[in-house]
Amino acid sequence: MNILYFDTSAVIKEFSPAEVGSDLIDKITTRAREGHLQIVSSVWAINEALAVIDRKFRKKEITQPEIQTIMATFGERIASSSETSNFRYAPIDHNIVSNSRGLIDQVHISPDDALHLYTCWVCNCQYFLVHDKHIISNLKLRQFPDFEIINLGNEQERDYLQYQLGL
Amino acid sequence: MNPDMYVFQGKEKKTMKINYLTHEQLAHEMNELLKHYKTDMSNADLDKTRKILRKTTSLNDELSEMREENR
Repeated sequence: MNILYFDTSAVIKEFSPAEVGSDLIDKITTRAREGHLQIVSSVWAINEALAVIDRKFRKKEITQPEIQTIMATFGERIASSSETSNFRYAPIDHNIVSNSRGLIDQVHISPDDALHLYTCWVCNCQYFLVHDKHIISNLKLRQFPDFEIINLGNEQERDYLQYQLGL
Repeated sequence: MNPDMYVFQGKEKKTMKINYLTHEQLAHEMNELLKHYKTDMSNADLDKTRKILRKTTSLNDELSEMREENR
């Protein structure tokens, strides 16, 4: 079974249909719920997504009742995951943190990005789904073992992944 | 693989056990989190959430901006 890693930029697309690539994320999460795919993310993605919502609230783009609805939906979605479901959250284990350090100077990415990337690899994922210009520009210069970087902002790469997954 | 990619060593992958978060852990954490927002999972509504977020600026851009500030 294909195992896909969702960077936070992929996780949040499920809640925001106007985002580039959200159609594909919808298809992937639906297939995962049907048991045909496995999705992995880091528990750190929950914190990053929460921080993004908080910024929207601080900027007054969303109101108090709206943030309550968003958080309830977000929480309910995450709580439906488990260690045996097809959407799993990996812990921030000490070994992941310590082993990911090498990526900071090798790939010149932030500690957050390194944590996601290393978690992808150690969880046996074949694809790293991301939509973040900075991390992509650094990652695309390199060949990674065992997994491919999929830029969700690129139509060709989205089509490629769809084809690979038979969606 | 680039020769400098020592981080990705097969032996680490084979020996590291990943204890994925359980449903109980995640449900407990989310229930506690939602208390801070004075809401609970009975208010979950994906369609309504999507409708709200459709009128905001991009979540993706917000995430990129936040990460840039941290880099």
